[in-house]
Amino acid sequence: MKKILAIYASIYLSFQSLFAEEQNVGDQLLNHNKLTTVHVVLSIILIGIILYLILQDRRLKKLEDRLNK
Amino acid sequence: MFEKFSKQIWWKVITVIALLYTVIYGFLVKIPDLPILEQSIRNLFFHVPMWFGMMLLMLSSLIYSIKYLSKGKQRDDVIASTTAMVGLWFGFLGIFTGSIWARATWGAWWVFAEVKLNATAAALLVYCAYFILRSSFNDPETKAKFSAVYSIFAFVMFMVFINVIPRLASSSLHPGNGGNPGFNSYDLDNHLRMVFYPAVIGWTGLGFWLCSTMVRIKLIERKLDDLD
Repeated sequence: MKKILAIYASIYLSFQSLFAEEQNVGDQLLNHNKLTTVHVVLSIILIGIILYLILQDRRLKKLEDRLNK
Repeated sequence: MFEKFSKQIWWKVITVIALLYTVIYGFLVKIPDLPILEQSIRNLFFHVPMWFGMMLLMLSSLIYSIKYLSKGKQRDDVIASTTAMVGLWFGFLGIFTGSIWARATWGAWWVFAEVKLNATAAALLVYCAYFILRSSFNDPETKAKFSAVYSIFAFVMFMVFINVIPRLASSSLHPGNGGNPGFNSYDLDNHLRMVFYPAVIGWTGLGFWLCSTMVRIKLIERKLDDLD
C-alpha cells in the first residue's frame, strides 16, 4: 500500500511540476477559483477510484490463486 | 480473452498515466480564446471521452451477448451485463458533465427542445430497461438468454437515438448535430488535441478496468457458490 501510494504520488507530483512550469500555473489555474476547486475535487475522486481498483486487483489475484489451487 | 486481458497490468498503467495527465494538464493547458465557451471548453476532456468510453462498453456488451447466444457460456453473460452496467454509469456521467456544460454555454441545465439531449436520455432508458428485464427472471439461463436478445435490440436503438436522430434534426444547439459543425472542424486546436486523445484512452481504460474488476468478483462468487 505504501509503495503504491509513493509511486502514485511521485507520478502526480512530477506531472504537476512539469506542466505548471510550462504553462505558468499562476496565470492559468491558481487565479481561477472555480477551476482550482474542480481540479482538486476531481483529483481526489480519481485518486480514490484508482487506489480502490489497484487494491481490488491485488485482493482478487490472491483470491483467484487460492481458488485455483 | 477478457480474463487474460483483465489480469494484465500494462494497460492499467497506461490508464493511470493518461488519467493523471488529463486531470492535471487538462486544467493547465492553454485554451483557445472562444467567446461563450471560455473555460468550459475544458469539459471536452471529460464529457466527450466519457461518451466514447460508453459507446465502446456498450459495443462490448453487444459482442458478449452475441457470444453468449452462440456458445451458451454463463461467463459471457456476466461480461455482457457488467459492461452494459459500467457503460450506463458512463452515460450518466456524460449526461451530468453535458448538463454542466449546457448551463455554462446555453444558460440552462437541460434544454427540453434540444433533440440531442432528449434522444440521449431515451437511449439511457433503453439500457435501464435491460436491467429491469434481467431482474425479472430468477432462472439464470432464462435471464441470460432474454437479456442477450434484448441487448442486441438495445444497442441498435441506442445508436439510433444518439447518432442518427440528432443528425436528422433540422436545428440543434449541440455541436455536430442539426447542421452545426462539430468541434473538430473549427475550434479543436492542437493544444486541446494533446489532452483530448489521452483523455479518450484514460476514460475508456478506466471503464474497462472497472468492468474487469467487477467481472472477476462475480466469477469468484460463482465459484464459491459452486463449492458450497
